[in-house]
Amino acid sequence: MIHSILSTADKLGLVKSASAHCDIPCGIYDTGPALIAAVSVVRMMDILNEAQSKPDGAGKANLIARNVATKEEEAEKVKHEIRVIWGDYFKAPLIEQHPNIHALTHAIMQKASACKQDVHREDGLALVELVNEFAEIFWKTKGKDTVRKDCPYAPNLPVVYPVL
Amino acid sequence: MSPLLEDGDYALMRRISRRSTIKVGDIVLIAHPKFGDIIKRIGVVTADGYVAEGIAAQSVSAAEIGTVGRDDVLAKLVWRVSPRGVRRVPV
Repeated sequence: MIHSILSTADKLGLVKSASAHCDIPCGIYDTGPALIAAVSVVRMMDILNEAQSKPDGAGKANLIARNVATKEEEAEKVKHEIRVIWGDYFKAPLIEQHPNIHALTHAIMQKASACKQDVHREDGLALVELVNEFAEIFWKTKGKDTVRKDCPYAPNLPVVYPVL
Repeated sequence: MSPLLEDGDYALMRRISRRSTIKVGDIVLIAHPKFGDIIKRIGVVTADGYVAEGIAAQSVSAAEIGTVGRDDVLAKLVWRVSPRGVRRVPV
């Protein structure tokens, strides 16, 4: 009865929320997997665009099918990894310090979807840049400096690494 | 704070005033700089403040929560209201 009354008040926004537990495993977050996935999306786009010059046939169809599927998978991985860090790691005090984190996360979701829908390399590059910005904010919250270096594999794009 | 508090439970709390005493075992609401508003148990009272801890094995450790100052302790749990019933705390 009392719980029902409080539940109604809660739905009306009259009750303040507090966390009394944390996820397991606690505190293990890293933007590395999201960046690798974002770079992979560009790599898949490059392979797909290069495939246009290959002669038609089963081999070309197979190459395109595999890379489209992987591009889809890697773009989804970007969305998942970023959502988890945004939703689980960023809490009120960090959000106050980095108020653009919501807009940035939303932009990553949108751009990753655009990467799924087509093979425009500029969308892939924009996705990597957005995830780089997210990574810089993430490492800042950890008190770590970052550096942008070209990843040592194709497509050799500038990627944010923490200085540990 | 399982099993004392489960997801969806309501915690009725008394605001900490200057006259309030905070002692080991109290379940309190803390405005934590990293974790936001969290409910934890006071584990140790030191000259610098309070060391708060969870009561479940998988809780964030007291070391991670760190020592919190008196100003960060906002309220003390008095009643727990859950679908399982209403219970005064400490029980």
